[in-house]
Amino acid sequence: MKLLRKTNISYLVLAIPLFAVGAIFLFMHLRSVIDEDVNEELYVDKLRIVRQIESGEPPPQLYPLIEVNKTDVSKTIQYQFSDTVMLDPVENEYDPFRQLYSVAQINDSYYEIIVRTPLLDTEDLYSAIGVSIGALLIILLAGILIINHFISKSIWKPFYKNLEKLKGFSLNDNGSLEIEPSSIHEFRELNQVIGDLTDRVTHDYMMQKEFTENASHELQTPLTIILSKLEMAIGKGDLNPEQASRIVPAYEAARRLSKLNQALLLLTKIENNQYSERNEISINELVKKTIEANKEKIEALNIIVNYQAENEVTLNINPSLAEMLVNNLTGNAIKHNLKENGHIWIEISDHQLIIKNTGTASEIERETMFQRFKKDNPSSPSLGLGLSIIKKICELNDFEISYSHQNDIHKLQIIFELPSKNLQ
Amino acid sequence: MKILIIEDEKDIRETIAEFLSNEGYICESAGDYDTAEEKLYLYRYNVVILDITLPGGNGLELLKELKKDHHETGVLIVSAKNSLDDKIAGLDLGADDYIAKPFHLAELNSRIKALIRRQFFKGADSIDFNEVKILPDNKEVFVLDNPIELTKKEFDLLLYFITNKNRVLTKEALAEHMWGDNIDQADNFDFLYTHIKNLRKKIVHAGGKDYLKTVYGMGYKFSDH
Repeated sequence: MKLLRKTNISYLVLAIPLFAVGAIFLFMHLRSVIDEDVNEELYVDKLRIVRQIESGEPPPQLYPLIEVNKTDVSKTIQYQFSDTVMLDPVENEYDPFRQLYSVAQINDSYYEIIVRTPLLDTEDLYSAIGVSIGALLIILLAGILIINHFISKSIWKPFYKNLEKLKGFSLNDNGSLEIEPSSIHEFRELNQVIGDLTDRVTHDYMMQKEFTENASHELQTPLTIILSKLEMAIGKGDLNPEQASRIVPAYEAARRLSKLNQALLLLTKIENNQYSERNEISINELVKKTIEANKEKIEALNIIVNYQAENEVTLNINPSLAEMLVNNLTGNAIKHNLKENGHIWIEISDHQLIIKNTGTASEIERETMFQRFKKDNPSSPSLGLGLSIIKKICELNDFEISYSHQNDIHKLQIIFELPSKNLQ
Repeated sequence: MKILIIEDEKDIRETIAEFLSNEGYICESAGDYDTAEEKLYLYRYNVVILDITLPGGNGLELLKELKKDHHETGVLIVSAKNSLDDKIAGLDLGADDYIAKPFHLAELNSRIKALIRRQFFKGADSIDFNEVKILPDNKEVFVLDNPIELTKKEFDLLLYFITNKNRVLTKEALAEHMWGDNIDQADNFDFLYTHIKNLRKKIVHAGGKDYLKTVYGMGYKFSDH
C-alpha cells in the first residue's frame, strides 16, 4: 500500500467517528438552545394572555396553540413545560409541540392556560445536521486528497526519482549513485545514508575485485615455477616409472590449477570491464572462422556441421570476447556431442545466433548450468567455467541467452538485441 | 646465439637459463631494471626475453630503450598479466613476440627458434633432422629429398617436435601449441593422437624412420635414439 493511500485512509478512519461525535454534540446543543428559547417565548405568551383576561376581555382561544379554560379547583402547579404531540386540525396530522401548562388566578377566578408552539421536527433537525456534517466531511477529505496529490508531486518527487536510480543501480556500472537533493529533513537524511551505503558497497566491491585480480596474478608466478620445473624433469626423459608416476600427476594437477586460475582471471577481467574496446564484428565471419579452426576436431569425431545464415549480423563488441564467445559455444557443441553421427546446427538470423547439437540430456538443472563450476560429470577434467564465461560475455553486452534440451538436442540461443530495446 | 633473460623471479630465470643452455644458447640473466639496462648497454644479444613487471621499472620502458639502439635484437615479451593491453603495447614498441605466464618451456623454445629464424635467416634456413628436412618459410617437408604432403596442423606438429627434439613433450604442451590456450576446451587429446598417428604414418611411408616415440604416461618424444 502506498504511503499516501495509507495516510488518506487514516484520515478517513479518524474523521468519521470525530464527525459523528461532533454531530451528536451539535444536535444536543442546538436542541437545548432551541428549548430555552421556546420556553421563554411560551412564558411571555402566557403572561400576555393573563394580562388580556385581567383587562376584562374574553379569554382567547386558538387551538392547538392557545387553550384557556375556567377551572374551579385551585391547583398547586403554577406552570409546567412539556413536549407533546397534538393533532393539528388544519394540517390533519400529528406534530410535535412544546407546551406550557399553567393555572392562574385572575379576578377571583381560576384559569387553566395552555400555550403551545410547534416544534421543529427532530428528524428534520437530524437530517439537516447530518447533511451539513457529511458535506463538510467530503469537502475536507477532498481537500486532503488534493493537497496530498500536490505534495506527492513536489515533495515526493526527488524520493521517487532516487528510488528509480536505486533500482537501476549496479555495482558493475562503476558509476556512483547521483542522488536528487531534497529540502525535507527526513529525505535528506535518507539520501545521506543511501549515498554512504552505496559508496561503501562500491568501494568494498572494487576492493574485492582488485583482490581477486591481484591474487590471480600473484598465483601465476609460482605456478610458472612449478610447471617449468616439472616440465624440465619430464622433458629430460630419464624418469623411471616410479618417478614418472609421481611427477606426471603433479604436473597435470598444476596445469589444471593454472587453467582454473586463468579462467577465473578472465571472468574477473570481464567483470572489471577490462575488455572495453569495441569494434564492428561480423558474427557470420567469426562463426565461419571458428568452424574452420575446429575442422580437424569436427572431422575426427565425424560430426556434421550445418551452417545457415539468413542475413549478415554485425555487432559492436570487443573482438577478443566475441571470439571467446563463439569459440566456447562451438567447443561446447563439439565436446558434448554424441560419440558418433553427431550433428551441429548453427543458425544466424535476425539478431540471433542459435547453436544446436545432438547429445544426451545433461544432468545439470537448466537454472544452474550457467553457474560456475557446474559440470555434467563431476569427475571430468573440464573446469566447468565455459558456460559461466559465455554468460558473463552475454551479460556484459546485454545479450539474452537461453538453453533448452529436447529430443536429445541441446539448443543454445543468443538474442543480440532485445525487441523491447528497439521499441524504446 | 646469445640470449638475455630479464625476469625478476629467480626460479623462473634460472629454469629458463638452464633450459636454454641445454638447447645450446649462451644465456645471461638480469633480475631487475637497472641490471638489465646496464647489460643491454654493455653487450649485444641476439634475443632478449623480457618480463614486463620488473623491480625498478617497467619492462616496456626497457623495450623502448632497446629498440632505439639494437634493431637486430629479437625481443620476446613475457607477462604474467596476460592482458591484451600489454601485448598490444609491447608489439607496438617493436617486440617480436609475446608469451603469457605460465608457459611451456617447449613453447618458449619454439618461439625463440622461430624468432631467430625470422630475424637472422629471413626464413630461408632449412631445419634438418637426419633424413627429414623442413623449409619453414615454404611450409615444405622432405623425407629423403622427396616432398611429403602434410596438413597445416601436421606441419606445425612436426616443426614443434623437431624444434624440441630429444625432449619429452607433454600432451598438454602439444595440444596447447596446436590449438592455443583455449580455456576449458583442452580436456580431449583424441585429436592430438590422430594427428600424431597420421604424421608418423606419412613419414614412415615416405621411407623415414619412426622418430616419434610415445613415452608412456608422459607424452611424446622426437628422437633418433
